Amino acid sequence: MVGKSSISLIPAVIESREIVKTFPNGREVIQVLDGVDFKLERGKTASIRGESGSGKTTFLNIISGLEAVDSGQLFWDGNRVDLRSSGELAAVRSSQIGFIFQAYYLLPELNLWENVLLAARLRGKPEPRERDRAEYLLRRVGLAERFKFSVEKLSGGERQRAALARALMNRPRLILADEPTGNLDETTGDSMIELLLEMVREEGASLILVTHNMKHAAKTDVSYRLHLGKLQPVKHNG
Amino acid sequence: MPWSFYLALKQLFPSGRKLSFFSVLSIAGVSLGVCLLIVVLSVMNGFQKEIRDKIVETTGHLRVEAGSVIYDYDGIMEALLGLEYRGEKVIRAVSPYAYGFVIVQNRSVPVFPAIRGVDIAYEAEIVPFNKFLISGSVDDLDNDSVIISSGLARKIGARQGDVLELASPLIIEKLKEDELMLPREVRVVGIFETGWTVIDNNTLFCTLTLMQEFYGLEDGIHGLTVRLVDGYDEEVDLITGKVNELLRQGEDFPMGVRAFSWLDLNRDFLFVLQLEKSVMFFLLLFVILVSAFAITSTLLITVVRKTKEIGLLAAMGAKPGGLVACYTFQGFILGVGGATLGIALALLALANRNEIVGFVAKIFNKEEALIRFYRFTHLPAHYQRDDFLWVVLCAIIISTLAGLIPAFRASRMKPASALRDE
Ligand SMILES: Nc1ncnc2c1ncn2[C@@H]1O[C@H](COP(=O)(O)OP(=O)(O)OP(=O)(O)O)[C@@H](O)[C@H]1O
Ligand SMILES: [Mg+2]
Repeated sequence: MVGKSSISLIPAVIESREIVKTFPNGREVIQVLDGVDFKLERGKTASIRGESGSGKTTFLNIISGLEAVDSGQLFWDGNRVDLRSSGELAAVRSSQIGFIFQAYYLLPELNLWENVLLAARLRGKPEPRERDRAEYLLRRVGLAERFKFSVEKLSGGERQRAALARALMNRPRLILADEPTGNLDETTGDSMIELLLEMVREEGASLILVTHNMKHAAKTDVSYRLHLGKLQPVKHNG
Repeated sequence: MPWSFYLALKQLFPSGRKLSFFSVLSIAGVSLGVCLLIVVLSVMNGFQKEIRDKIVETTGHLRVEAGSVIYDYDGIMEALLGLEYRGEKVIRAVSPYAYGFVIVQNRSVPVFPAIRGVDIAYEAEIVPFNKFLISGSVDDLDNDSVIISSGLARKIGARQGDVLELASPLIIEKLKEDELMLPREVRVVGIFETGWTVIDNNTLFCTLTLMQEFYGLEDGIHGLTVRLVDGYDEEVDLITGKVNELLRQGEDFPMGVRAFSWLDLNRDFLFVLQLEKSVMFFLLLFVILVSAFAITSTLLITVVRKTKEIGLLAAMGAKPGGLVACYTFQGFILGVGGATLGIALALLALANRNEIVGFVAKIFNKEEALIRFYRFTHLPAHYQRDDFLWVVLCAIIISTLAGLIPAFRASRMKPASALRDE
């Protein structure tokens, strides 16, 4: 059974214990996460499904340190991080976690290549090695001819592929993808997920994929459903 | 280059596109302010310089006076002409004078003009008489004639060749001693106009000898006018100090003899001129301030519009300090761009200022009025490095500050909420 703590020499890329998260809403309090335990081994992929408003995005934000927990513990590579300052986390996050969002969030004032390289730039002056990597990734996601293209001239699928290249730029250990196919048509979405899984494996990264699509969810190593503040493992048939 | 500067530049000048509309507008706003400031300040400098030149032209750089009549002044003149400052002779000419007031009557209108008695041979080295004379000639000036200012001529209705009666204030002194001193008849041999109203309104020139007689000075004078060699205008205060040192050392110089620079003598007036300029600077600074508000509001809109991207940057590891730098730097760049363009525009406008004034005057059909009322046929302009520095500094500082509010707004966004923002 997945989710039970197993003894391993390699620490999990990410591990959460008893995460509780509430949001104030006027006089009431919304209980979004009510004790979430989660663990993802190096190189593994996981999917999370759940109704709208069930707290999937909130959970990803907590995992990446963008949002603080009410209680519970969070580990990155076996190190406890939920008590660290946001500044400290930001520095680690830039090299360890890559993000993919439903709405791409590419910067329109940069061309494609610059968008991908921006991930490296945020950590300091990009080295030639990193420039080469940005180029390699763009080629790998099938945008070889579009290096100097303005983001606004690309289709949704192309944009999401560029976002994937950007997410992988700094060789992160973990990719967080929040409904990456939400704005894409079915075929494009399917091939996007194929590419995502392929490249995550190639790069040896781990992945947490939030999706509403059962078919996509079934492609990851493990699957969960977030319901009533708890994460439940899901078994796929075939 | 840190990412914040990189991104700031990219937001203002996006890749693969022309300038962003916002950058163009903001830079135009700042540059207009800068241009206006430079043009106005430079033209004011021009007028100021004309006035200052005029003061020096009519009254010399320095005056040496003793507070009483100086009788033996040959030694002083010689010492002054020999004065060395930084190894150079800096005094070009020295001219003795006596001055006072007289009562003038022409067709029974009495006025009380200032009168200056000078030795034309010396004085011509200091005052360009020929430039100022509108009729007559200084060569005709003898001990029975005077040259009068245009304002005075108008007031008493005198023309060249007319005979005036001059009465000395000495009349009263003499009366006390029961002596009678009759007014003296003099011929007007010239009329002058300097453009410097204080002098033009009410002045009269005569020979030193006539003045000495008139005031009973024997061969005494009231003081000496000094003109410096060209190019030492800026150092007049230092040279005045040197002259005073010299005057203190000389043993047979009269008691209390001292030099005053024209800056000392016109301190109040020059202060008003400077004040006028400062006020102008302050007022026109508001033009830049207004464009700074435009920068603030546009940048604020950008920050709000880019909420998600700012959230993304934070997710990718951007620290709040970097975001502050990014938007503040945009204000800074707009300031630098605006200042540069503004200076270029100002120099262009100033280089063609007379064409511009002429053109505007022609449109409104006011060319004659311009000359008649403002007494200028060309617009003076004078560049001062300090003006440029101040204007540029203010433009850049104000624009940078304008970026600060949007910058803090951006840095205080919570990444999770920014990303969630719909
Ligand atoms: N900052 C916040 N303040 C108040 N409530 C919040 C905040 N962030 C999230 N919530 C609430 O928490 C709940 C979970 O939100 P979340 O975005 O995590 O859902 P989700 O599972 O990602 O939904 P979707 O599938 O629509 O993206 C929602 O009810 C939302 O309104
Ligand atoms: Mg969500």
